[in-house]
Amino acid sequence: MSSRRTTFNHIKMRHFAACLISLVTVTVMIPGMSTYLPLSTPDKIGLPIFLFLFLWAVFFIYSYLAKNVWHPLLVMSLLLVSHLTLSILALQ
Amino acid sequence: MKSFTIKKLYTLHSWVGIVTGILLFVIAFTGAVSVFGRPEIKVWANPEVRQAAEIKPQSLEQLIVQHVSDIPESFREEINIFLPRARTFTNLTVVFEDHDNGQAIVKTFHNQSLQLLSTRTGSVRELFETRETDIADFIVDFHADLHLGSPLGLLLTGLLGLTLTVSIITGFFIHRKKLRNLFTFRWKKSFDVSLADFHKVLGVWGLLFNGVIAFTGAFLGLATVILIPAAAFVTFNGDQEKLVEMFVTTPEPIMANEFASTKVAKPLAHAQSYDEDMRLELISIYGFEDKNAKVYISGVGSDKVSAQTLSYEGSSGNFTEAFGRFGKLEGVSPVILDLMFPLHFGNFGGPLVKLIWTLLGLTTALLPISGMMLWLHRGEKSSTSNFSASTYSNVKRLVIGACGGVVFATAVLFPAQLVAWSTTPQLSSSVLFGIIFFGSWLLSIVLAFCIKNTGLSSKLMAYSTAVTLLCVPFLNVLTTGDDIFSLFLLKQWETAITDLTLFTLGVLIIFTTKRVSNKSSLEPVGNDNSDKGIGNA
Repeated sequence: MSSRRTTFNHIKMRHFAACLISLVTVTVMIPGMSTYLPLSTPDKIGLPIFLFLFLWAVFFIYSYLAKNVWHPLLVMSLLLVSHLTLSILALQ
Repeated sequence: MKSFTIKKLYTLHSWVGIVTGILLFVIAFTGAVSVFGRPEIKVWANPEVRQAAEIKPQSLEQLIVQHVSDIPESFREEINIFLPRARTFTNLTVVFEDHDNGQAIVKTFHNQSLQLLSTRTGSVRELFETRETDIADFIVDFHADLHLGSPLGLLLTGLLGLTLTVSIITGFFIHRKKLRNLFTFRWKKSFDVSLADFHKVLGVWGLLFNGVIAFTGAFLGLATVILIPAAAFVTFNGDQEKLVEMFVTTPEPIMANEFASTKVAKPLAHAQSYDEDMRLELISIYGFEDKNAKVYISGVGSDKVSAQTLSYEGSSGNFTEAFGRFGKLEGVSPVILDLMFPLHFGNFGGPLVKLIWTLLGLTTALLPISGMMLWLHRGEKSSTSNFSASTYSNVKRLVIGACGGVVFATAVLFPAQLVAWSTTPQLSSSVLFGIIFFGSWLLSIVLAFCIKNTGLSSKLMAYSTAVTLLCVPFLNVLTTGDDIFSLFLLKQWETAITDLTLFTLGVLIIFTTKRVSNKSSLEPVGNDNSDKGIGNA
């Protein structure tokens, strides 16, 4: 894997974003999405669960493909914070 | 797509494959075997139930009425009758549940005579966990959670579903131009060209199946660990039971507290003739001997892909409706949920679909191993590689030991089951199978590291597996007296076909190993490197 040094910059940060942050983000998005999806109750619960796999794969790949490592981190952080806020507001 | 992006995708594809490859092989291989785990291997593993026995509806009703009178009233809230040779239980098993105290009484009956064989009392979970297991349970449970339990085991298998998705997506973009070469398999070329074609052909042809398995596998693994707790967090204030209740379409009735005999024979007779292709698995009775009692009979393999539940009025035995497990709920999610299970297990269309699912499952297993062999082959030959020759050699040994070892360990379970059945060992069956399975697997890994020549260790493992499989039909004759010909004559199809399949697999492994080793020994020194891929370009 000689390409490792040249193919990806900030590799540790990318691993962190792809493996951990993406997993936390999509997990938080499940309850968050159920607060605003205009669907029946089974679909409000079901669809975020089914989207979990695809969203995680997208975030995982994006974490490595993005030119700047801060882009995926920023996108995921925004999604994480917004969905966490929506969940807390819904609980209150 | 820019070549630099493709290079990134290629690197990502390689990394994911190398990190998860061995585990993915283990899960996919045991998954392919598990397709026939219940009931086929289960019936084979329990010689006392190899002969099919049809339970007469009237006899079953008499049996339930007789035994209900012996148990406290609180245990009549829910009665689950597990029909024999269907899924979890080989013998007819009736579970009487007391919901208020979380206790249950489990009674097991002889399939032909309906004589009581055993009675156990305890919590539902405890009774299920301490039940007698066989190699079918062992393999299926290992595939589900690697015998690491929840949450670790389920999390691992669920995450593998996620990483398989990444491999599929990255692989698709890397080889998207190869889609037009669906039939390109240059098996007469050098080893690495043949291997590269093999990897791509498997990936392209299995694209849809692998996608389905990755999606359903990730869901089944992560459902109870991450998905349901997360989904229940807001909608049900974290109450997961309430969330599950919402998806239950067989609700318990409100008791009338008025006596009325509950019909079991009439619903069962109706269910047996409702759809001839449907294999009935479970009868659930709520509120036995109450006027409002409900009877639900569920089964798989009907014209509908999803498992079907037939609903009956308990007091009259009249059929009310048939529906999928989640089919009564509105929206798209229940439809997806209904399809999730049959699409993962391949249990919706009889033995032919199961065979296709097994073969496709084996191609899923061969994908990571062929990818890893490619990476190793190219790395060993490359002059610019970051890793030393000894690192590649050790990884190769690990791949041979772990992947070949799990195949060997699974094969060893079959003779072990026959010996365990005929000798009544001191250890519980699950412990015994655990020692044999993990012991054989560990031994294979140690051997792969001890034998210097990796070709020799591969051959040794392949021949050991083949000899083990070839022995099974003969050992079956010795321990149970059942030979393949008489099994066919007695129409004990599950046992006969399992014996025949294991024997055929043994012959095929010997044949393939000979062909591959002949090809390797004839390989010219200067290999054709025309198809080395981007990684080494």
